[in-house]
Amino acid sequence: MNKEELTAHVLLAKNGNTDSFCKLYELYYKDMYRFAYYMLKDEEDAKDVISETVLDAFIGIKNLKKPENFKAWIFQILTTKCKRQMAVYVSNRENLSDAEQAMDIPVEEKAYADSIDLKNAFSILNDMERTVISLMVIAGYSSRETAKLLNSKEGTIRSIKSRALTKLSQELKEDFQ
Amino acid sequence: MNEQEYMNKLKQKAENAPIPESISPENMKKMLDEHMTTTKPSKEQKKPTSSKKWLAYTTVACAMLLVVSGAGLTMATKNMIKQSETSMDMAQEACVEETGAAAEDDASDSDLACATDLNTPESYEEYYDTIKSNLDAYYDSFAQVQDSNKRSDLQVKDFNTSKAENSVVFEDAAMESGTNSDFSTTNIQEENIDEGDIIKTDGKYIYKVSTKIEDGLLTNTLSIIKTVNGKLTLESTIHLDSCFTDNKEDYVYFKEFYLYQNQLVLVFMNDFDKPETTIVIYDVTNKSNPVKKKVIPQSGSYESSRIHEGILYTISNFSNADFSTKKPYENYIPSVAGKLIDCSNIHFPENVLAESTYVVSSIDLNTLEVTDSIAVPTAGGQIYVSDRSIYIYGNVYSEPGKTKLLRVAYREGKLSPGKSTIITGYVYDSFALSEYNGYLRILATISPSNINLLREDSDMIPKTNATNDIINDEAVDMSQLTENINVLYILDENMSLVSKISGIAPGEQIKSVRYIGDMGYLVTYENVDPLFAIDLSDPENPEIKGRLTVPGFSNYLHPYADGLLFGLGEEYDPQTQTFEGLKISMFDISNPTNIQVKDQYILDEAYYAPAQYNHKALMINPEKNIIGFLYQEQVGADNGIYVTNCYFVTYEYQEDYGFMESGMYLVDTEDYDSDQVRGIYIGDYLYISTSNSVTSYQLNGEDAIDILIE
Repeated sequence: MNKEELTAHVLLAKNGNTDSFCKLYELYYKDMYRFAYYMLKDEEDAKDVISETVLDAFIGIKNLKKPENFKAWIFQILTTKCKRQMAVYVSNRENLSDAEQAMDIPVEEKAYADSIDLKNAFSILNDMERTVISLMVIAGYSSRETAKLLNSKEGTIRSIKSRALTKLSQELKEDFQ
Repeated sequence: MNEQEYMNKLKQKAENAPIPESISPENMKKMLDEHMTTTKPSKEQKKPTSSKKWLAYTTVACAMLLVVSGAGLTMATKNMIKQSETSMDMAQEACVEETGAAAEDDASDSDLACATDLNTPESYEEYYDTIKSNLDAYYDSFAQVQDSNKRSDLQVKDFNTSKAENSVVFEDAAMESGTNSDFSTTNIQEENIDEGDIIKTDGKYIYKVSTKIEDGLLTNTLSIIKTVNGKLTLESTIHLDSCFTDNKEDYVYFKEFYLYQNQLVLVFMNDFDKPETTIVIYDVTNKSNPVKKKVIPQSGSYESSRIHEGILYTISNFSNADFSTKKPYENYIPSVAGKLIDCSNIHFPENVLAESTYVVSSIDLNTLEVTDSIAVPTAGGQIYVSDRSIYIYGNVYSEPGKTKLLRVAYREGKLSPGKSTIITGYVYDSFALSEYNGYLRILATISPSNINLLREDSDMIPKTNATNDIINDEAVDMSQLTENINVLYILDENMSLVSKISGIAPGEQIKSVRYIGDMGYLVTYENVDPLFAIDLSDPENPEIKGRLTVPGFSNYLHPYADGLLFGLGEEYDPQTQTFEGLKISMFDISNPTNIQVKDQYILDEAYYAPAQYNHKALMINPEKNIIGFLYQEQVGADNGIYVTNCYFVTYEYQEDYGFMESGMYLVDTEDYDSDQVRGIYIGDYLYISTSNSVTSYQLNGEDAIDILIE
């Protein structure tokens, strides 16, 4: 989709055209889902936040000033929703250890061993590290853009990223330095 | 495998996760269509009653409450404008010709009024008509998508207002001498210009904001804590999330606060209807019973604020103007304290698409009345404030690699927009700017792909050419430069270029800057790691006086005692470039041509200190000879699990011995919360504040005296 098409679809979506909105959504929804999935470590919750994000974004797209920012903008909504959901997890976490959570893998997911490994490896990251890695790896943001999204400093993000990558490589038993 | 390769590999792995059919674009379209037929979006939509409840709602039911959470959307767009080379090539053509200027002719303010290129409308209607026609022309240009070569031919109508060429003439405010009271204050950039933070003290009470999770939601509380020789007593608390709204569904974001005499000045961002900044003032004369005195809303999302001589200056970004109808005016005219900004204080953007409107207000903290408010268009969103000017600066999206600066002059609460200019390069933080004796000094970095812009800057030819100007050096082939270069610009109060040095540290990246009177110091890092001293005493002929090459770099510089400069940064092995830990340095700058390292100390276990990137996280007072900051160290175990420990550490500096560690305290905090940790001292006691506790120690002592868990 070139820039003119993108702009046109955003304009149409602003006027309530669901077709155009979903064309825009189609461009990014796989990354959006994976982002939510690794952030929340739960398929159902990931699906829920995606649906909420879509509705929010559709209602709010009239406020989107620059069509070319559609991706960043919808990821911002998604990030906010995931963070809110993670705060809920924290408050409910007392009686559920990480080990128990890790055991709780539905059988039908086993076929996707790589993504399960990765999901479990993500469990060793703290919330901030997971957010940073999800944004940078899955959504493809630079450390500067991530810093802006999370209202943090670039240097902070870079150090969080390095630390998280080191932890992940240890957990996934891969050589990385 | 380097980091990037490893991240690519992770990404591949991540892509193995199956995408559920239920979120496919087709299914989402069904959901949205259903939403369109069953719901008419309206402000009167009923809101869910409990904050917990929404989690239990099913996907379809979400539509009902998204009107509420949808309120968060406009905020999401804030600052999300990403720099994109293509983003504004259409918009560029919408630039208005410089045909006129505002009449800044209010007699009573004539001594403050600046020359400006900004124009004010005669009426709100005129403002509406002008901008609306611009926007319509822009959007019409997309009606024919196929005709991609068609360009909009936009022209803003001429303004026939006359240009007032009044220069700013007001004398420098006499600098007050620093406070002698024995307690720490927020580490600020400019003397006597207070900056907000999450903790303040008046020498007896600590006022701090704590964050915790209640019912699954983050909540902020301000605690007033009495201190008596390290003993802590909670006097009272203010619940910040509900201090100016009763509706639990409203999103309120606490930003920062000030302590001014016996008043707390709290700054919030909220999103009830549209993004808004709210200033709430409490009288805390009675510590056990804070009294809310005033709530002042201001349109737009919060950018920054300062207090200077009892007046609060607040800058917000009004980016969500709605030009769909001419009335009500509130839709596109920002307001302060519920009052629309006066027409004579509204200014037309030069380019409606590339700029957004910034609101600047001043509030007298003695009378709690709004003194002045203006709306000015510019690019950016970063703020630097001197004792007489507010600079709003940031990247120009229509011109990648450049930074736009707008000056707003202020004095005793009166505001007057001045000129703006665009410089080549980007500015890494507000410490790179400094206004002194009427001149603005800026250090900017230009990336290799933009170096050619320097030569194209025909309007940026300085009156005098400094000797180090790389573009005048015939020996340097600009097209051959493949690395960053750094440029010092000196501008006068009309934002005209007085001089520049463009040959500073080619290939290096600016890590920190500090201006001390007539001198500027900057640290760069890449291959060699110099500290430069630049003599700025003659604004027309700035000159690099000296440089010192040391391993590592400083992220933050702070003037210490006379002739000494403190640096906090990182140490690297000069041969292998391996990270060796955090480093504190004391430089002797008494002779700028011969800068020397007086002492340095390497914290080899430490890898990160929030104060490297946030000056407010540093506790420093040269008069008391104390430096304190939090650092993190990581202890690796055989099982691959890393444990991060946080320590708050204090130093003093002795001429003969150099740095001496005077205290080291293990801080119990989650490492992602470490940015919230502050250390303050009152008399001989140190108080370490985390997001949910305060612990007191005797300065130089090891054992905790008291702990208050919030």
